[in-house]
Amino acid sequence: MNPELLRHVWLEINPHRLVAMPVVLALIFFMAYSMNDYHFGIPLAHTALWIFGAIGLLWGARIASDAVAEELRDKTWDTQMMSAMEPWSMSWGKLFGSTVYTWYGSVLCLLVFAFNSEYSNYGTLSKSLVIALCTAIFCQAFGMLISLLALRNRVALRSSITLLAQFLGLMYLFPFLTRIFGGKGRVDWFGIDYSWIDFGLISIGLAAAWAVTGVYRLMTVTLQIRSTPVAWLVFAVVVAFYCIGFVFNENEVRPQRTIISTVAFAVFCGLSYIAAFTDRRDPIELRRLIYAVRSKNWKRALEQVPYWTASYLLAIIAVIFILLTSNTELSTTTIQKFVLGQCIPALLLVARDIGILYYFSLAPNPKRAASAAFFYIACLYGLLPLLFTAIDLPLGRIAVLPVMANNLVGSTIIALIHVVGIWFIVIRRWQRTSRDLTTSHLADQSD
Amino acid sequence: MNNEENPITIIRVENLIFDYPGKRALHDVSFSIEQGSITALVGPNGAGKTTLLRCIAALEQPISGNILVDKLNVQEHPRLCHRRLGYLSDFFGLYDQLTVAQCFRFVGMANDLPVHKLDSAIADTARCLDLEDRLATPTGKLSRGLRQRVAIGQAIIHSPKIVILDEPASGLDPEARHSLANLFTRLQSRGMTLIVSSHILAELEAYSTNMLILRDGRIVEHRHLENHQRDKSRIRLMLSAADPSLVSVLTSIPDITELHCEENSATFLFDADKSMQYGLLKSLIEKGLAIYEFGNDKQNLQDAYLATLNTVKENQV
Repeated sequence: MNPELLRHVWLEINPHRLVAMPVVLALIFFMAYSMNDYHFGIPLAHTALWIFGAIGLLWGARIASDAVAEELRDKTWDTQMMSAMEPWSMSWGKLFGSTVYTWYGSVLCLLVFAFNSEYSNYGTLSKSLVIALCTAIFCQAFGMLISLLALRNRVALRSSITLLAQFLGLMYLFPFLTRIFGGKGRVDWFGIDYSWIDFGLISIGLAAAWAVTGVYRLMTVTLQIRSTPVAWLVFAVVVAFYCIGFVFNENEVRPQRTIISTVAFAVFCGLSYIAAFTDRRDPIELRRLIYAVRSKNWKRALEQVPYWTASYLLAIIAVIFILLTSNTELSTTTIQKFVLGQCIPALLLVARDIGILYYFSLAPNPKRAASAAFFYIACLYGLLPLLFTAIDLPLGRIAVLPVMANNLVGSTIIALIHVVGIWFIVIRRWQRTSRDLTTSHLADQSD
Repeated sequence: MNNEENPITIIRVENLIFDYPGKRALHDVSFSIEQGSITALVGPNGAGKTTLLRCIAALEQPISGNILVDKLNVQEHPRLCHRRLGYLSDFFGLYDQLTVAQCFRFVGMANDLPVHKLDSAIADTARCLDLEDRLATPTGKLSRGLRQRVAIGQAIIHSPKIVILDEPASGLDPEARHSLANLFTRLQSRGMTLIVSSHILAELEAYSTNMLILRDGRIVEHRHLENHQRDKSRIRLMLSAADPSLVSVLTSIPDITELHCEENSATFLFDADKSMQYGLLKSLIEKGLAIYEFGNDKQNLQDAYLATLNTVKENQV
């Protein structure tokens, strides 16, 4: 048996809890049954689904997130790190072990749902059950993912952050789940007409699989096992592929290629931001990378490379595809023209924004680097262009937001100036940080 | 280090560099540790002892350098190394709700102990640590000393070749420290190699075979304590009055090493042979030194440590 799973079973399951859960659930379901004029049926199924959401999605995600944080708080993480368990065993043992009690309650709820649901055929019922299970796995894995990210970045995971992540996750999932379980409407994905329940199965299944993969990959890194950003690269391609499915139209080949490349470009840029903001950016990581490059240890260098570079590389490839497949005659819509004109400046602005993030991350006290960078990036995209618009100074607006220019060359040059400027001061700060370290090193020697 | 007895190197650290943001914690550290030894890792606060131990235990990733544990590269194969290592951190934690037996079982399983060997491993570990009557007690209900023993039990249940202990005696009463010293000697007799970091040098003296002194992230001395005691003696001589020729007389004798002179006294290392020491005393008196006291200076680990640190400071000045 997985030792981590067994440990959680010891901690989470006892006779009292085994009895308490079905008793409480039975009382709730009896209340729903009595409110439904002592009839079984759909209202009871809906109640079961809501309670499943509360137990499996909210409580489960919270417990999964706390599983790692509690190890740190109780100073038992070193024992975990020192074990010979492989990352995969550790990941699934922790993920399903910490939530074993919520799974107990969740399964009871799903049984009530299954016996009372509106789905008459077993196929649809099975699909809806799998969707519910995958949604719980996704939420719990996502909770653990956030916890592992906090651990990797050596920041304390505040409960407010967990709550915010849960809220945002549910905001995203809720309309999606309502449609799936509502069973109405169809989805066109890669030219195929899917029912919402089939599409939900694909989507939630993919999301759960990738969330668990994310936990595994982060656990691997946390356990000091070296890994390259290959999984991130594959994830970026899969997300792009998923999004492309919504715009795919096999009847329009030429402009279609440009649209596909544009969607992929947007996905890769977005993922570059996510990777840059969530990955470690401290000088130590950079020093390891530089040392590996200087010693020509390319395997080590690849392991040290920040994840955002992988998705940014894909964004560059997507821009090349946009330019190769574009044809201004076929670019009829304003959006297409805008994309063709501004994809290079947009790519450069992503590099600028990541530069801003690195500038704050290399500061002597980088504790709030991400929030500071986020604030300045928001000013550059929102506040300053609005200000220049308000005072009717279009040149100022173009200077801070080059994509607003109607000239590809002009906007590219301005964006390039931004990139060179910010990375110049990043490198200056990096050199100063390295010099300070050398100075302190020499000062230590002369003590 | 003395390598005359063909010792097997079980840990080799090569050019290890470790940085914290704004500070280099380990500067190009290199050393090796013999199989079956007990190495006392000593140094002032902030010297980098914990960082070094955590790097050896594959809990931290250095900027550069190599660490080989039982010929395995720690950075390349951290999980394989963990099967050969036991580690007790200075601020360890236990699963308070689990019983001692459950804690041992969990760690044994997590370290790939075969299921059929688990029960005997738990019983052996409990016997070794005098915890047999506590196996069913939740660890949260144990005293500090007993918790320390459980934590050590977790570190050794899989019979690792190497046990790393960071400040294992902190917070323990003298009796518990004494039993800890006995335990370490027992573990060594089972063939384990121990690295023990501690501020309490007197306790390390009871069982250490080697001393590794770390200061400002650098190794300033790696001494084999047993050989040092067996082959050489630290001699202390006192003069009835200050004599300016003391230093020149003593430095003129080639067999004298690690000389520390004051106005009317000196300590140095010399051959442990009694007839050699008699010859030395005779020759010093013949050279006109007014010696009124001559004998073995029972320098303890603390004195040795302080003397080394003083030498390092003098050399830097």
